[in-house]
Amino acid sequence: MNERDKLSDRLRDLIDDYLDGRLDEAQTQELDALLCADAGARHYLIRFARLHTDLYLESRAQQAGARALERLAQQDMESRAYESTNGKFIDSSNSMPADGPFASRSRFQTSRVIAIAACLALAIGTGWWLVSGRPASGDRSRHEPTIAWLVNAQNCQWLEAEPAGDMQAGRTLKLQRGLAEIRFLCGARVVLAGPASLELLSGKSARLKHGRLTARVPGPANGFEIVSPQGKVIDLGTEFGVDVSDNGTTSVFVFEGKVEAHSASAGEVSSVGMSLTSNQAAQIVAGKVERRPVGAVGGANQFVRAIVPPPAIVPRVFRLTFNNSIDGTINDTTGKGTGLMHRLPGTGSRLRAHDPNLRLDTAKGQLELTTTRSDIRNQVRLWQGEYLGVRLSDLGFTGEEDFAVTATIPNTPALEDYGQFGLYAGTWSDRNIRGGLIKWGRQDPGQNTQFMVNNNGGPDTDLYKVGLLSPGTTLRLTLKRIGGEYSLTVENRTDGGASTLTIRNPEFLSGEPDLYVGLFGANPYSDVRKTLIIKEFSVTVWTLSTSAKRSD
Amino acid sequence: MFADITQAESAEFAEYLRQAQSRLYGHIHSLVRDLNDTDDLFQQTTLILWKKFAEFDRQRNFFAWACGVARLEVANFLRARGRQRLYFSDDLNLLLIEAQSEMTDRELEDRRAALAKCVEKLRQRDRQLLNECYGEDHGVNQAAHRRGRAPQSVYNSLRRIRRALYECIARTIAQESRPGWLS
Repeated sequence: MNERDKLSDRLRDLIDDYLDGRLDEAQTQELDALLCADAGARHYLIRFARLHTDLYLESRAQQAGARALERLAQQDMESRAYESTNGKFIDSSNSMPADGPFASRSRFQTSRVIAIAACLALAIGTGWWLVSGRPASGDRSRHEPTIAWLVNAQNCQWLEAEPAGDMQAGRTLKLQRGLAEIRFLCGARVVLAGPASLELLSGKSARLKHGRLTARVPGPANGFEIVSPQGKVIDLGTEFGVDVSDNGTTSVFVFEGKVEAHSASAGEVSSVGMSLTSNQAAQIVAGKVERRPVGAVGGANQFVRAIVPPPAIVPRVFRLTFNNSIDGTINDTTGKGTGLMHRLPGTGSRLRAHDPNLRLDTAKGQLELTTTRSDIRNQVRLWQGEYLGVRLSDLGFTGEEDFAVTATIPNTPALEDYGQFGLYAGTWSDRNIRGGLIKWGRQDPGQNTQFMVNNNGGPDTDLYKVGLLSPGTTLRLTLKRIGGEYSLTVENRTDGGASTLTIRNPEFLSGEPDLYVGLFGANPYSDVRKTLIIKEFSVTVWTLSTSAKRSD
Repeated sequence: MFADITQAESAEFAEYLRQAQSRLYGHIHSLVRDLNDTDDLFQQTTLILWKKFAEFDRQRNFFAWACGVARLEVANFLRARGRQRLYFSDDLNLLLIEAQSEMTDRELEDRRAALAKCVEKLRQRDRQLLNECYGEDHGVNQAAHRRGRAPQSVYNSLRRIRRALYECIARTIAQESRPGWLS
C-alpha cells in the first residue's frame, strides 16, 4: 500500500503547513473539508502528526540532556558542596548561566536543581524513545506468550536485569527494594514489595520464594494462586497479602473476600485447604496451616496494597507572545486586549480603560510600553504607574510554590535620570521586590545599570546595582523565587553572557498567598518617557499535582 | 479505610493515564501544534479527568473519553487566544478521535522505534536542521538566520526531511512485520 499514490499533493502540502502553523483561515477550512471526506487522509494526518510530535519531544529532550550535562560538568569544576534540595522542577529554558561576570553571586544550588530537573525531563520525555530505540531483548518476547506485565514500579532496584514491560512464564523477578506492580493475564494484580523474589508460573499463578506481596483479584478471575515453599494460597475472589520469610514460613492475611490456604510437604500440596475470610490470618509452616491472630502475622499494615505516585511537581505556565488581542484583559490605547490581566495593587488606578501608554502590535508580536512619571521609591504618582502582570493565584499559587516571571526586551532604550524598567513581584505598591535596568543618576544618559531592590513600606531598601549595559541590546529578564529565595537574571541575547543578582531576601513577602508578578517601566524624575518593546512574557508556577494532593 | 479507597482509585487512574498519556499528548499536540501549549492543556485535561474519574464508566474506552474532555479544553483555549478560526470543525474533531483510537499501542511503539532508526539514517546536516528546528522556540527562523536562508526555504527542507522519514518508517515497519510473529 502506498499512501502517496492515494493522497493528493495538495492535501499533503496543507498538512505540512498545518503542522508548521502556517495555514490561514480559508486553508484551514479547505483542509478540514478534505479530512472530513477521506478516512485515508485522516489516517495519514494522525501518523504524520505523531511523527511531528515525536521529533519535537526528542529534540527537546536532547537539548535538555546536553544542558544538564554541561551544568553537571560546570558544577564539578566548581567543586561546590552538594546541597540537598527537594528536587523542585524547573523549566530548564529559564536556566541562568553561571559563567557571567557575576558568577560568584549566582546560585549554585539552583543550577543543581536545574540539572536534576533536566534529567527528570529527559527521563519523562524520552523514556519510550530510549527503550523502544534499543533492539528488542531477544526474540523470545516475540515468540512466547506474554503472561504478565510490569505495569508500575516505584524506586525499584532489581538484582538482575530490569524486567521489560511484558513477561513470559518462567521469569523470576528479583526485587531488592522498591514496589513493583504486576498484572497477570487473568486480571489479577500483584504489588510486590522488595526485597522479594517472585517467579511467574502462568497467567494465573506465581511462586513467591521470599518477600511480601499483595494480590488483588477482580471478581471473575478467581482461582489465582500464589505458591510458596510451604504450600499455596488460592484466591476465591478477593484481596490478600502473603509474606514468605527466609526460612519459608508463609503468612497469609485476607483483606476482603475469601482464600484457601494449603500446606505442602515434600512437594505434595495437600488437597484439603483452610478457608480464610476478611481480616483473618494464618501461617503455613511445617506441613500445616494454622489459624493465627491477626497481630501475630503483622496484620494488614505490613502489606502495601497499591503504589501511590509520589507528589509530582508540575509547572503551570502562562505565556504571551502578543500575536492576538485577548478579550477581557488590560486594553491598549486602541482597545486591544494585551493579555495581561492585573496590575500590582496600588498602581495604575487612574489610567484610562484604553491605556494610552500601551500599544499591542499583533503583526510584530510585541507589546510597547511607554514609561510614566510614577515614582515607587517615594510612592508618588502611582495612580499612573505602569506595573502590569499576572496574579499568581490564577496559576495555582498558594504561597509556598516556586515561581518565575520572564520577559524578552529587544533594543533596550537609553534610560535617563533614574529611568527604569524590569520585573516585579509583590502584594502592593509598597510591598514588593523589583529589578531590571536603571539609569542611576542624572549624568551620562544611556549608561544603563542592572539593579534589584526591595520596597517594604514606602522607601526602597537593600538596593544592589551592578555593571553597565549598552542601550540597543536584546535582554531576557527573569525574576524567580526558588526555595523561597529571589533572584534576577539578566541575559544579554545580543552578545551572550548573563548575570544573576540577589539581594537581601524580602522576608515580608514569604508565605504571602496573594502575590502579583509582572513588568514595569517608569521615568520618575524627568519628563523623558521611553518606550519599551516586550516580545515575550511568561509566568511559571511550580505546583504540586492534584493527584498527589488527593492521595494523602 | 477511606484513604485506602482513594489510594486504590488514584493508582487505578494512574494506570489508565499511563496507558493513554502518550496518545493523548500526541492528539492534543496535533490540534494546538505548540509544545508549551500542549503541556498546559495536557495538564489541564488530566486534572479534569481526575476530578471526573468517579463518573468514568469503566466499560468505556478511557482514551476516547479523555480525548472528548481534551477537545473542549482545546476549543476553549483557542477561543481565549482568538485562534478558533484556525481550528478544526467539531465534526472533524470527532472523526480524528476515532482515527486516533484506531492506532494501536503496538503500532505507536513500532513507529517510534522505526523513527529512531530512520533519523539515524539521515544525512548529518539534515539531522542538524531537524534538531535546530524542533529543539527551540522559533527554531525555523533561527535556523534560517544562521544559514542566511529564507525561512520558506528552511520550511521546504523540513517538509522534504519529514516526508522522507515518514516513508522510511512505513518501509521499516513493512520489513519488520515478517510473517510468523502473529500466532
